[in-house]
Amino acid sequence: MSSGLYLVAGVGGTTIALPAETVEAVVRITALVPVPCAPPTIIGLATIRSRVFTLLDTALIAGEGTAQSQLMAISSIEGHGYGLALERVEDVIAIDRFGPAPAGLTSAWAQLVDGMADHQGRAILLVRPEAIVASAGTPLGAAA
Amino acid sequence: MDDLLREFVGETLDMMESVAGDLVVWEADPTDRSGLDRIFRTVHTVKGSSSFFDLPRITAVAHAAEELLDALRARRSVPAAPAVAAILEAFERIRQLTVAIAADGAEPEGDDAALIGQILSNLRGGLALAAGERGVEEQPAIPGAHDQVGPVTVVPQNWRSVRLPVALLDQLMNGVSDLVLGRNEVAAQLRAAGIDPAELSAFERLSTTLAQVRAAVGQMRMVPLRQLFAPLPRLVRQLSSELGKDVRLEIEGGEVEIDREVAESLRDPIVHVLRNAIDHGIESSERRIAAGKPAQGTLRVSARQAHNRILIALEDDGGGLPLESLVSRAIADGHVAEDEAPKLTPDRIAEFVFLPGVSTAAAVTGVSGRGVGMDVVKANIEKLGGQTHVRNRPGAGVTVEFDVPMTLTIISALAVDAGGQSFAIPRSVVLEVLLASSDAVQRQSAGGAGLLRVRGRMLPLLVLEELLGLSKTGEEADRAIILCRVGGNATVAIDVPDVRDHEELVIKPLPPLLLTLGIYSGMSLPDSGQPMLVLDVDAIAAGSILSDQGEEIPAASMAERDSELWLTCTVHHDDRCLAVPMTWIERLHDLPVAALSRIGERHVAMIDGQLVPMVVTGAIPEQGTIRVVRIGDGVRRLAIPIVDVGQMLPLDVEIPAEDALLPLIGLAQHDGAIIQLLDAPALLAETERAWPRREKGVTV
Repeated sequence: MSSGLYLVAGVGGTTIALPAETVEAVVRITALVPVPCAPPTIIGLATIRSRVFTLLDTALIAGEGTAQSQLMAISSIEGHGYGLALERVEDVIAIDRFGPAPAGLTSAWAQLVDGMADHQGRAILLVRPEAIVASAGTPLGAAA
Repeated sequence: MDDLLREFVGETLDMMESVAGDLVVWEADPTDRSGLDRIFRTVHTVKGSSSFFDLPRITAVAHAAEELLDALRARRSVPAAPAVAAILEAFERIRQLTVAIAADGAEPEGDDAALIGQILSNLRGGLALAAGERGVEEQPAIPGAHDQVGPVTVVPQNWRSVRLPVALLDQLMNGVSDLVLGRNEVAAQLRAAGIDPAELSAFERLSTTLAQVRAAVGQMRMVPLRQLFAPLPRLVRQLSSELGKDVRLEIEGGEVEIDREVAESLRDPIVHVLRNAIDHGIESSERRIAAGKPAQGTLRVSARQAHNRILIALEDDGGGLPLESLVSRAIADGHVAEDEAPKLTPDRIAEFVFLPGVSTAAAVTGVSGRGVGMDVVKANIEKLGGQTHVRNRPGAGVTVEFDVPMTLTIISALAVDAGGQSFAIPRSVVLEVLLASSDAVQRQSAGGAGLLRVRGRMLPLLVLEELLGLSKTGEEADRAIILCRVGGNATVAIDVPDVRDHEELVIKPLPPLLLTLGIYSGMSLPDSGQPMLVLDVDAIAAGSILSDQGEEIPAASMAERDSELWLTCTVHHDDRCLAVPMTWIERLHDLPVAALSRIGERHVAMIDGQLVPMVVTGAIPEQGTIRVVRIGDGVRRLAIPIVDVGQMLPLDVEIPAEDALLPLIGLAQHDGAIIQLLDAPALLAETERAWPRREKGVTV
């Protein structure tokens, strides 16, 4: 995989990397309105500067159990704005290459992970926002 | 003119303007090959697209110009003035023809042989001259003045346009919404600092300008209906010759503007209805003459705007609908019971054309009559939040009317509060709003299902909080019941904690994740800055109750549904009898005169601890009690003093009428007495203007 910039964030005990070009910004979650009847993976609608984002519980989608996230990475997919709740955001770093995803991922993680990098001795899983959005509708983690 | 041709016209005019400039620049500096290449490519493009649209005159002129340009490109020398003049002339001709297409949708008749000869003669003659000889040749600079081009038209202003990506427009719209939210926040901060924003003239100017910009941005999505109507003449000509009918098409109201998206969705329904009209509406010339009609049939397409809705009427002067076969088909398909049939009014029967599987055709033709159709038309219009109506004039024709919203991005909605947040219900599905405490409604339950009895009809009742899984808040007094039209003809009642407001909402699409919930159809970000979900009442009803019932639970007979029920009463100012529509009556009260007060010209009554505006039309007694009828729509209410209550009657307007004191929809008669039919919504609106309702800081 080619080298590029990645937003490194923590989901549960796992460190993930979101391709920087897929993330518009990382912002604090405010002004949240719930969506009745939505699956638990959808936290609600968050408004940032008159744009409305569908806020997804990234940790729950990854099967890590719901977390109290203060931050979200915002990302546009097919014209719709999504917020991906993140427990901690570390840094934006350049990663040269990702290898294949490790074997033995939980089924929830397996749906999300596209590859793995060994960054200064730490395993970082490559996750694309589209995969998180796609899994939010059929949450294996939420069912488990 | 269809969109593609329109685009061709716009592009060609733009290109002709820029290419003429390129040519002059190139003539001045022949070493600049890129200019000539650009010109060549432009002419090539025009040639290609004009042949695609079958515009032979433009194709021929462009082809000749292209050949000459090709030769000039090969020579790499200074162009001769006559060659440049001939090419300029070719551009001018293409421009004129394009303008004519913009006006008429087709190439005008004419002959370009002289111009083409002139262009090609440059190929044979002195293509290029030495620099010293430039301008010496004495050919007429602008040849072909004798060619027939028709009167020269000035380019219509609306072609002076720019093409923008829709994403840029959306970005602009978002930016404007941002500005509005920012303005609101500044206003709030000003108020907190003890400054009245209304008194700050700079702030006022900002607000006014912002409102104008917002309106202009909204306008950007609009297109004139002319664009939608333009291909119709060709279509009608083609269909009528195919079917051997002689039909004339009249179009009116092309200037009416409509959201581009709505216009797109109207195309198929309009074509479908016109096709039906030509195929089975309009008779053959012989039969028309025998019936005493002009041999040529007439189709009329007209559009007009009423507030934020567009009404499109498609009218033919054919033989009208075959009512008998519609009835027998409706009976055969089980839409109507056989013993009900004789009671059906002709208007009601005409509506059967919208039932699935019903065809208006005696025979199936290649054009229409396969029984797929009007039900799909109706469904498509309803998808837009619109309605369809049909009016049949036996022996004289049929009118099909589409009533659609002007724009999909802004809807008029009722904001309802539940569980501490607001939801929107589009006005297009709302039939009426009743107070839950009104005497007109009775709640029942049967086998766990909630039911509501309203004026002789039993309707399924849904409680909003239960639908959405929200906890009910204690406050029960103010609950309202909203009757909504769902799935075409059924009605469902939704019990909501509070109707807050009527709002115009800018609707944004929902991501698929939320759309698939089948509860919401869109979302909006009102000025409050809190996102509001729009309830998809149709889908909710289909999902929760109507799946096995389909139609509303029949309680009222067809006949009863046709005439509205009215309560007659005698009022102070007049001997005549006033009738108030039952739909709008909340209840009757006997009030002590002391409960009334007079403020200036107006009266107000204290009813159940609330102040209710009174519409007083005569003298009020000094003491004792008076009887009032309270009407309302769940949000607004008023009371009218009456002398006595008469009876409940189904009445229809017989003649329209006006009255200085009370708005009427017309007069009816019953047992020899003349009855004035009150226009309750108009009276509510009038009273509201006199008594602006203030609630939760919102002035309506």
